[in-house]
Amino acid sequence: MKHPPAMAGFFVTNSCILFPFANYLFNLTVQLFYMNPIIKTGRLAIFLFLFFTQACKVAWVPDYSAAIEDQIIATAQKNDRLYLDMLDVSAPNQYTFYVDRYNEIEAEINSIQLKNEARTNNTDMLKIIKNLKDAFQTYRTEHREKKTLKRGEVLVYQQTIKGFWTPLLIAEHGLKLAK
Amino acid sequence: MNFDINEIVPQMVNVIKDTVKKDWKEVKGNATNFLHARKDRLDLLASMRLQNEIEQEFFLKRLNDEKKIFESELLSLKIVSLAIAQKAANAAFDVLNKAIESALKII
Repeated sequence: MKHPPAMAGFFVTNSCILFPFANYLFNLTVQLFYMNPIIKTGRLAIFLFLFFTQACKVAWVPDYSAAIEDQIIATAQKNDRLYLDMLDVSAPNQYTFYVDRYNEIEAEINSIQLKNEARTNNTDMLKIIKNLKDAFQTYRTEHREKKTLKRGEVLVYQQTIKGFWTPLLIAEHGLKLAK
Repeated sequence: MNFDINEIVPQMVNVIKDTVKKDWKEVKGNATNFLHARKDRLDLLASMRLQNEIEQEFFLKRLNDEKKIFESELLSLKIVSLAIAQKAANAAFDVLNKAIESALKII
C-alpha cells in the first residue's frame, strides 16, 4: 500500500487544523486515494487534494467589520460630546442631567462587546473592550457619587477615555490588513 | 511533474517580505501616535494637579488608568501585526497552491 506524501501531513497538522470539517474531508480524500484500488486516476485525487487545501487559510484575527468600525467611531464621538457639553459653562454639570446619555453610550459599548463575543479569534478585542467599559463605568460612578464635576476633572476624563477608545478603533481598522 | 520546492520556497519568502514591508508602516505609525497621545494626557494630568483642579486621589487613579490604556494599545498593535502576518501567510500558501496547480496542468 502506498503512503500519503509528507506534504499531506503538513497541511493536515498546520493549516487544516483550523477547520476540523475540512480536515476530516481531506483525510477522507487521502485515505480514499491511497486505499481504494478503484480510484486509479491521479488527477482526481490531486484535484480533491487541492480543493481541500485551497479552502484552508490561516485565521488568527476576527474578520473586519465596517459596521462595527462605524459603531466604534459613532460611540466614541458621543462619549467625547458628553464631556464637551459638560465643559460648556452654560450647561449644568450635574450627574442627573446626563443619565440618559450615559445609558445610551453604555448600551452602545455593550452592543460592541456583544458583537465581538460572537466573533472568532476575539480574545484580544474583548480585553480591549473590557478595559474601555471598566473605565467608562468607573468615570460614570465617580460622577454619580460626586454629583458635579470640576472642569479639570472633565478635561482629564475626556482625554483618558479617548485613550481607551483609540486602541479599539485602531484594532478594528487594522483587521482590514488581513485581507 | 514540473514542481521544484527549492524554487517555490524563496518565492513564498519574498511574498511574505513584500506583504509585511508594505503594511508594517501602519503598525509603526500607530505606535508613534500612541506615544504622542500618552505625552499629551500626562501633560494635562500633571498641569491639572499643579493648578489644583484635581485632587491627589483623582490624579493617582488616572495615573493608574494609564497602565490599562497601555495594555489596550499593546493588544491593538498585536491584532494589527497578526492581521499582517495572516495576510502574508495566506499569500505564501497561495504561491504554493498556484505552483502545484500549474505543475498539474503539465501532467
